[in-house]
This record gives sequence, structure tokens and C-alpha cells, in this order.
Amino acid sequence: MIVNVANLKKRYKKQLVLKGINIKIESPQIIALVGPNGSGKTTLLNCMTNLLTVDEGSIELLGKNHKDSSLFYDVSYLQDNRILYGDLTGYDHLKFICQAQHIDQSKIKEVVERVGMGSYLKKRVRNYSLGMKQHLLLAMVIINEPKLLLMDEPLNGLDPTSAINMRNILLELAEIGTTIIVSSHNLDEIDRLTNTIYFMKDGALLKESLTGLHLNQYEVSVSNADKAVEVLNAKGIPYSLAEKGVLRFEETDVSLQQFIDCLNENQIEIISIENQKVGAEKRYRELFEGEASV
Amino acid sequence: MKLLSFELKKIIFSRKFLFLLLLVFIGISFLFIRNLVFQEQIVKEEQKELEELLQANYNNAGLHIAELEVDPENEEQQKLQRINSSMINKLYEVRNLINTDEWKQQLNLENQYYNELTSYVEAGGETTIPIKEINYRTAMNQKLVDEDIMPQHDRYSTALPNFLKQILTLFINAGAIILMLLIIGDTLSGEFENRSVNLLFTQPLEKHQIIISKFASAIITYLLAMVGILGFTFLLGLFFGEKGTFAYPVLFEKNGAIQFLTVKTYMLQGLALISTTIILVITICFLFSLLIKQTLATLFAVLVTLLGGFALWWLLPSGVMAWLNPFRQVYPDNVLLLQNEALWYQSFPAVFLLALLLLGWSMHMFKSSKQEG
Repeated sequence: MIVNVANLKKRYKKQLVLKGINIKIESPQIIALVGPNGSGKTTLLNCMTNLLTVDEGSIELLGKNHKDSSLFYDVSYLQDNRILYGDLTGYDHLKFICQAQHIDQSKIKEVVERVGMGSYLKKRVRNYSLGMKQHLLLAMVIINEPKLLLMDEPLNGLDPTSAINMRNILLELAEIGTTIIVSSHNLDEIDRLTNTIYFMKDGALLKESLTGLHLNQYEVSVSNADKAVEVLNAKGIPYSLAEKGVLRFEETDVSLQQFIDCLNENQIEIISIENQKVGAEKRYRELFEGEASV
Repeated sequence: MKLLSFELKKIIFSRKFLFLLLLVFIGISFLFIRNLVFQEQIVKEEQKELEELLQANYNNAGLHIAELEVDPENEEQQKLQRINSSMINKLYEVRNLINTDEWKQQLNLENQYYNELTSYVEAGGETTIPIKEINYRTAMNQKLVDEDIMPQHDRYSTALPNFLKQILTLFINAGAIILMLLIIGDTLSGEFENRSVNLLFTQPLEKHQIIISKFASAIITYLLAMVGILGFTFLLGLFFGEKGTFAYPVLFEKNGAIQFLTVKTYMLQGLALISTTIILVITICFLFSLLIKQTLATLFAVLVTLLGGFALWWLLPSGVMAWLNPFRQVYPDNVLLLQNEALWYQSFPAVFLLALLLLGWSMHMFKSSKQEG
């Protein structure tokens, strides 16, 4: 089990700010945490990393109790840039991480190139822009090639190029098996990163979000729907009927191309394909109609 | 100690540390320049004091003459008049020796004057100089003559050992504590205030390692500041001051009697006292940082504790109690120069014990410490 959060409750003074959160992540993936300000995203991440005490419930990361500091050899947490020391350079920060985590310092050069912060690595952090600080924070959390990466608003202050770069880095990490939990306000970027979004509201995970979003859903209009149904059933390709002559297909184990090939091979004419993508923003609007901005 | 270099860098590469050190260097240079400029002032001051003494003696002479006109047979007045006249003669002789190379003769004459002044007071005369001060001056003059050491002005000396002592006196008496509180006062509370402590909390580090590293880096910072300040003073005195001698006497009281240290011993003992006190100050600062987690309030609490603790020096009797008072050393000049019923090093065990206790307490508190709110 990569993450096992069970019935997590957290109070500030007497107010319950996390109301029995349950999260189980068994396989590597990218998960987005989305919710309005004050919904408990940062508190959840801080509890998971033992920065905040937990009032009730349990947290296990990578099979270990979250209070075990040795976890941080394999778990990284990208926090807000106040954790940086203005009088020190980016290099000083990375060197410290290497020393604390017994990482060869040759990794610094590698990670700096990957993040693209070589030109200001040896400048004092107080002279960094917001985007530069985000780059440094990213470098600091990926230098140890973590198995679990928690990120609190990593896209803050990034220009579009840097945001794309960060997204690519996260996708690369996910490909090699890193589980990433990211809270973000940038719903477009979230859409590009993952189709598993946990929506948070008033300290609780919304039930809808636990199933994830169906981002790659298509409505395929065909010339002969009856034959198409027959063929798809025979091949075991999942689908549903939207309306007469229209099949609803969701890209999961079978890709859209395989779906199309199957129909083409059986001389079933495809009239149109319409992407029915349900974006994070659309789902967010559905869930938080009338709420404060994310 | 993987954390130590990081913690040390955070302090010594901070603008605050460099700015404060620069400010101290400017202050030291200013004092040295003042001492150089005021060399002429030393002679003027001596002459002024002498004129005041002469004036007092002449006033006394007038009184004695008036008394003797009324009662020419008054033996007490006759004796006083005789001593007073001799004192006036001595002062004239001293006046002729000011600003000459005949300093030994001047000191001897001054001592003769002070001896006569003591006799004069014993015979019923009055003086503005307290007897204790007369004894101090006489003993100091005699010591300088015996050791063949040219006298230096208390405040305006440019001789390397005396200028170094002047700066060290400022350093050990409040200077070092204030400087350290300004430099390391926020080393822990500041981390909670700006939440940078979360970086440390999300590394595979044991929390006691963090406290020990911060403690060690604070001590190293103190040593660096001390070496920097004294080194700078030394170089200033070496290149621009006079040679002087580290055997220059420093007068202190021990069990009511006058004794002498050398400047060298005074400096070494003073540094030992303030260095152990700084260890205590750091641990007090850490504990309050963890309790309060707010820098200004922490600094205020530390200062109140130190002042309150120092008050114990006056409240608790000396002697055996000096072993139990860890705050006795907060003002080392008192400990070094007033060794009545208590030795200068007598509080060391109490200081170390309390520092150890507070450090352990801080480590325990830090272990369960969180960035709540």
C-alpha cells in the first residue's frame, strides 16, 4: 500500500477541519487534490507528512507509520516557498538535501539541468522570483527520486513554459512508478496531468471524486449500430448505448484507436466521433456551484 | 554532523550577522580613533584634577588659617595646616612632572600625597576623595612602580593590551550577550515564524539532531564573532597603537583586600566567564523559542530571565550560595573584580548544569513540536 489514510480527523482549536478522510492508493499514479480555499487540502498534506498532529485516525505511507522520519528518504513534500532560506543559495539548499538524505552531490547538476535553474543556482534565494523558487522547490523534492511525492500548489508562480516543464517532469516520474499527490488551483494543468481527482470540501473528500473522472469518453455515431453492438460484444470491448446509432466508449484498457479499428475491420462506417471529455473545471463547477474560487 | 554546516551557513551568511559584525567593527574603530584623539585630553584631565585638588587644599588652608587666628594654640588645626601645606607642595611637584618621562617619580609623589591625605583625614580633615578610592589609587601606583610598568589611562589608552582590555570589558559585560541574542535569537523561533522549520521536519533527520546542530552552530557563531572582534581589536592596536604590556595590573578585591590580576589573566578569565554564560543564554533562548515560537517575545523573555537571575547575585549571599547561582556570571566584571567570599569560577558547575538541563528540555520539547495553526 502506497498510501493508507484511515478516518483521519484534525481539529484546529475546536473546529473539525478534516472530517474522517479515507484514502487508499495501492498502485503508482498521479492524484490531484482540488477544492476551494480552506477545504483542507494543505492540512491533509501536512498531516500526512507529520507536520501537523492528527487527532484521530491513522496514516501509513509506503507501509510505514507517517511519524517515522526515515520515510523521507522515499517521500518528498513540495511545500510553499516560505520554507526556503533567503540568505542561502539554491545550491546550499540542494547540498543540504543531499547531505540529509545521503545522496551523491553529483545529482545536483543532473537535477538542476532537468529543472532548468542552472543560471541562478548560486544566487541567494532572496533574489529569486516566484517561479525560480518553485523551480528550486521542485529540484529539492525530486533529487531523491521519491516513491511518493506530495505537492502543495506546485504550479504557483510558474510561467507557461515552466508549467509545461514541470508537468513533463511529473509525468516522467509517474512513468517510472512515482506516486504523486498534487494539490493545485490550475485546473487545466490538472486535466493534463491526471484523470484521478479527489475533490475536497469542508474538510471531507467528496464521494464523487473517489471514482475519478472519465476524461477520455467518446460518443461514436455509426452507420449500423446493431452490427457494431454484436461485434463489440464478441470482442469484449466495453461500451454503452447513448442514443440510437450512438455508442459511448471510454478509453481504459482499450484505446480509441483499437475501438475504431474493430469497427473498421467489420465494415461499420463511423459517421462521427465526439470527445465527451469531462474536464476538472466542469466537474468542479458542478460540485462547487456558488463556492469561493479554488 | 550533516546539519551543522547548513545551520552554520544560515547564521554566518545572513545579512544580519554580517551587518552586526560590521557595526561592531565600526564601533571599535571609533573607540580607537577617540582614544587617539583624546591623548591630549589625558594631560588636560590630569591637570584639571590636579588644579581641583590644589583648589581644595587652598580652601582647606584658608579654613585652617582662620581657625588658628581664633585659636593659635589649636594643635589639631596646626597639624592639619602642616599636612595640608605639605600636600600642596606635593601637588606642585606632581604638576611639574605631568607629561614628562618621569612617571615613576610622579607616581611616587602621588602616593606620598595620598598617604598625607589619609593622615589628614585621620587627623580630622576633610576630602572629596573617598578613603577606598585613595587606597585603590595608592595600591595601583605602587604596583606600577614595583613592576616598572608605565601607567595607562583607563579610558583613552592606545596601548594594545589596554585597548584590548577596554573592548573586552565591553564585550564580556553585556556586549556579547546582546550581540548573541541579536544574532541567534531567532535561530529557532524564526524558523517557526516563517515556517522554514518544515523543511527540516520533512527530511530524514532525528529532531534531536536539529537541536544539537543549532546549538553547536550557535556556539561556533559565538566563537567566530569573538575571534573576529578580538582579532580586529588586536590588529588595530598592533598596527596603530602603542606596545604596552599584557602584565599590566588590574586591581580587584578579594576578601576585602586589594589584589592584582594581569590584563592577560583578566581577559582569559573574562572570556571563560562570558563563554560559559553564552552557553546558558543559548539554551534559555532555545527553550523560550519553543515555548513561545515568536522572536520578539522570546528575546524579551530571555532578557527578563537574565536580569531576574542577575538580581539573585544581590539577593543571595555570597560564599556557598555562589556555587548555586548560575546567573552570577551575567556581568563578569563583578565576578572578577569583587571576589569577596566567592571565587571567580565558583558558578561554573551551576551554569553547566542548568545549560545541560535546559538543552535536554528543549530537545524533549522539540521532539513533539509541530507547526500548528
